[in-house]
Amino acid sequence: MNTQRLALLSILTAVCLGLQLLPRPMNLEFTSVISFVTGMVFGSFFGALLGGSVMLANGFLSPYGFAGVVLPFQITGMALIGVAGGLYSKTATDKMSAGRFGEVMILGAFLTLAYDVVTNVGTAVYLAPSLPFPEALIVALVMGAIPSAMHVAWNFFLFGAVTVPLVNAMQKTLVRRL
Amino acid sequence: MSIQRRTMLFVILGLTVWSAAATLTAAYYYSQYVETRRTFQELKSLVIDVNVLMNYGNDTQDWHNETVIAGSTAFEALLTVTKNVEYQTTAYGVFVTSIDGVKNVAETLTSGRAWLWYYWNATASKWTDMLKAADAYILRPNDSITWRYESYSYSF
Repeated sequence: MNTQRLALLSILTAVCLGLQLLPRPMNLEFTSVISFVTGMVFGSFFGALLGGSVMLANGFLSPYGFAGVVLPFQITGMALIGVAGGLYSKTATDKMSAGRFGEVMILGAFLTLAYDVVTNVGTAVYLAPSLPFPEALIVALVMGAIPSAMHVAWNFFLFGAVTVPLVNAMQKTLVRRL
Repeated sequence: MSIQRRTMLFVILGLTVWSAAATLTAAYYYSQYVETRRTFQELKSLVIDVNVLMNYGNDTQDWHNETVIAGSTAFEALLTVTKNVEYQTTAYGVFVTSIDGVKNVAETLTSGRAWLWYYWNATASKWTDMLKAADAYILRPNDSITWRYESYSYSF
């Protein structure tokens, strides 16, 4: 990794962490789209690393308090989004065109849902001492349905609005500097 | 991957998200419905229906069908009908002095017009004086009471 790429990755991490720790409505977040874009530009490993490390810091510094037992699930879920970004960039061989807007919107919604399911498994683990695990999982999924629907809708539009222009701008910057 | 297969893949992904989100949302609202229904049933056992007849002594009579918390008194039933009530608290219980601006009047030492309350005695089919303050009578389900502004007189 050269200096320019390292600098860009550092800026992305700083911006992502800053936005994540900003007081904001729950589930309206930018970390997943930044992890996804980082995965697309820098590869799955760095996408996962950024997403996972931001969620690790968030677990301790979040304005909502310590994440507790859900933290490893948040890290895993966000890392998966970063990995998905890297995998998606391999299938999108051409320049990110307008035709990709729809794809990233759907992918954003799908990955957000997957993230919410993973974190709800964490919530089920938290509830498990007082409920059988399958029941705890159903309770966690059902009780989290409305926040999850808002989260999915938010990322559906955010991925659509941000991913294509951001990836194009980052790739252009890296190519120019190189 | 051909364009058709790629499009199909994303359509399937989109439909998966849609169906999962719709299922979870439906399950959430169903759970809320069940919870609300259970709460309603619990609360229903905590409330009773009572009838309150307001008689202002000028041919104005109003029936009010009220729902009150079980254990409420005749005085509390009055307060559900109108908040415009003035009263004095005495050793025997509350004594209502005014309802909706209609005040008790002492015309002589032993007579006047005042707000009195009666209980409907279904067995005798008549309004009955309970001989106790309104806040000392605990209402039962479907009780009927009346508050009347009427003349009174005492003789010694």
